[in-house]
Amino acid sequence: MSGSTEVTVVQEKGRYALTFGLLAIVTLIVLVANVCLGSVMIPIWEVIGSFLGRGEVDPVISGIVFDFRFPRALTALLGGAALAASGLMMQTVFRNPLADPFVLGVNSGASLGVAVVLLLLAPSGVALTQNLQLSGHLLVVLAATGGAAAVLAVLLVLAQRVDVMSLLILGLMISYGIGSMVSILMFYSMAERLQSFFSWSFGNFGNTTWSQFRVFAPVILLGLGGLFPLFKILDAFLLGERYAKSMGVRVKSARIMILGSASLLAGVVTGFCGPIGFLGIAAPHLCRFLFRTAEHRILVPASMLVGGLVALVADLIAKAPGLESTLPLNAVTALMGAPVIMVALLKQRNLKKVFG
Amino acid sequence: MGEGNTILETSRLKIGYSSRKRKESVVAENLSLSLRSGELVCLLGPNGAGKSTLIRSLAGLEEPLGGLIKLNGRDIRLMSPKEKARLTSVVLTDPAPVGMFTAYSLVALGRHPHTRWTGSLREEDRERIDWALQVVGVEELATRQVGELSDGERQKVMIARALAQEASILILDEPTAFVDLPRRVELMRILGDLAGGVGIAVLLSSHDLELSLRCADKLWIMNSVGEIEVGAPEDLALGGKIASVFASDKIDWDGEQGGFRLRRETARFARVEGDGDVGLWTRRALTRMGYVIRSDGDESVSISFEKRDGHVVWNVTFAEGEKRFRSLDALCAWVREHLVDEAALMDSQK
Repeated sequence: MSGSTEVTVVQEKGRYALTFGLLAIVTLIVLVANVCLGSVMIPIWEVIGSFLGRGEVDPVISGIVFDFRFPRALTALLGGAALAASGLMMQTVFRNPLADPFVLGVNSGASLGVAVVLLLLAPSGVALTQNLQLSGHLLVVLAATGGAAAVLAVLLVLAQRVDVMSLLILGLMISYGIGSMVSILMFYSMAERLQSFFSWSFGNFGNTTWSQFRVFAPVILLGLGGLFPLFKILDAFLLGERYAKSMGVRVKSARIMILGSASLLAGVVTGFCGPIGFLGIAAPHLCRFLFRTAEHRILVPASMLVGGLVALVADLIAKAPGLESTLPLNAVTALMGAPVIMVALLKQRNLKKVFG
Repeated sequence: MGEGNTILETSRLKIGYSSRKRKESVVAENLSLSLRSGELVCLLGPNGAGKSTLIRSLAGLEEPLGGLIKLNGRDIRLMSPKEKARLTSVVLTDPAPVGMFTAYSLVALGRHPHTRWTGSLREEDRERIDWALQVVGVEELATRQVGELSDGERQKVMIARALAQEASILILDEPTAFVDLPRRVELMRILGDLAGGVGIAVLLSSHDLELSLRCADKLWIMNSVGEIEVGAPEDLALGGKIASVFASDKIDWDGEQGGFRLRRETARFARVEGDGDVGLWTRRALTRMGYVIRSDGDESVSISFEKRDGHVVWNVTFAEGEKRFRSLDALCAWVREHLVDEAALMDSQK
């Protein structure tokens, strides 16, 4: 019997490796496409040329590749990975297939933080231009992360007292409540302040310059790297907190650690790129569908990869290559994410299987 | 099974719930219980007696309100979660929605307190997992997805998971609740063999009194006010403890049959001649109709049967005469119509 088990284990490993390999190749292709395509089409050899530093490439083109396209594509890759991983952790801890930062109000917390900075504090002296400087932008990032963390803390306290379904509804209510506070702030704000808040709230991976990316990338990588020791605990959480406790997990501190990293990741991405919905729900479901497992040692890296891939594709569509204008990123992710969830629900019915 | 070591011991244990605002609600107190290795203990009690609370408190999943729980002589409050997990494993009633796990990976989760932070399985972990799958008899399910398993199969896989945890105590809350009768007997058999064979202590709560009476080495019978009687099932039955906890105005404990029967207001007596399976089921049918089976001449109806050409014919003798039936259904229908109404009429006239 153990022989046949081993054969299947080997087969599974092969299947996982193959899927990972294919995903990585597709991601790489989309990454290159993302750099090449945009309002200006840049042929691939010129992209490669500007990397290798060959003389023939127009300095304007290599400037676009280096200063705009490349940081944007990398931000999409990392941001997508972070949102997907964050969504997966929320789904596991809350044992709810629809949990993601957006649904549980963490994103609205970030919005409120940013709204306070951009709409309320800005008139009283925070330097604010259309292109925020590093310090100004960092303030937005801190506000978003702080807002997200505050909502998450409230949810964690509530999570100890109510069941999961109530928690979801409470999260929605918090979301509405905070949303209306943001509305009130907007109602009393000046038009030009509103403009900068609006452009933040549509979501955009293209706001990060290299100097901001130098802050963004390490924080995200640190947050993502910090998930690897949590795989085992996340698996135990799938069985429910009582079982997790019975297997020696320090449930309360684990929950705080997991949701803390989830809020850090979601909050930082939201701060730099605006609130980007649906990625956090869709990418983990897509991975469950592709890998047919709920084990986190597979699912977390897979979600990161797929999240990055979906973000790159969404960004590519949002840039609307060949057209004059661009699309709001948030609308694109929703248009891509909603059908994925619907198909996953209808075809697999695996949400029931995963979450009872 | 012999005298095993005492693994779990409680003294003056007080269990229940407390919340900041309200006063603590005590489910049971002053409990002094112990579990020995090699023992299968069934915790019985009416609904709402607090069986699950006791199970969860002993498993270290709920804080006791007072008193002491000792594992291997050590206060569990002084143990790390990991240490506790190496001594106690559980199977709960909580739904375990891990549909997209294979049975093997689910059982492998049981190795949690033994693996390093990466969760990677070493040779000894794999051996223990294979052993757990085999003991419970689910090797062939190893590669199946848990979501595709039946309730009984999933319950076995959950037990295998608990066994993979390599603890000295296995605590199960209602393990047979959603499982059909043959599977229930099989599960109890597996658990009994585990206790006797591997030498772990098995504690399970159950509603299945008759099965527990047959399988358990020891019963803990919890009454509705949280007092617990401990003893061998046979001693408790003989001492009338089972009757006193479970019997109600609707149900009687039948000390001779070792089971319960519905109590009827009117006492009617019937006599059944003949033994074997036909005799057994005929008696059952009459008991269901509210008759008490007797043979002291006081009976109002007497039934005999004979087998003819492979089928059974029942012969009913009553005050006014005799009648033949070819099925118990027909017999019962006739008895219901002619004899029971009559008896009820007589009762009401009294």
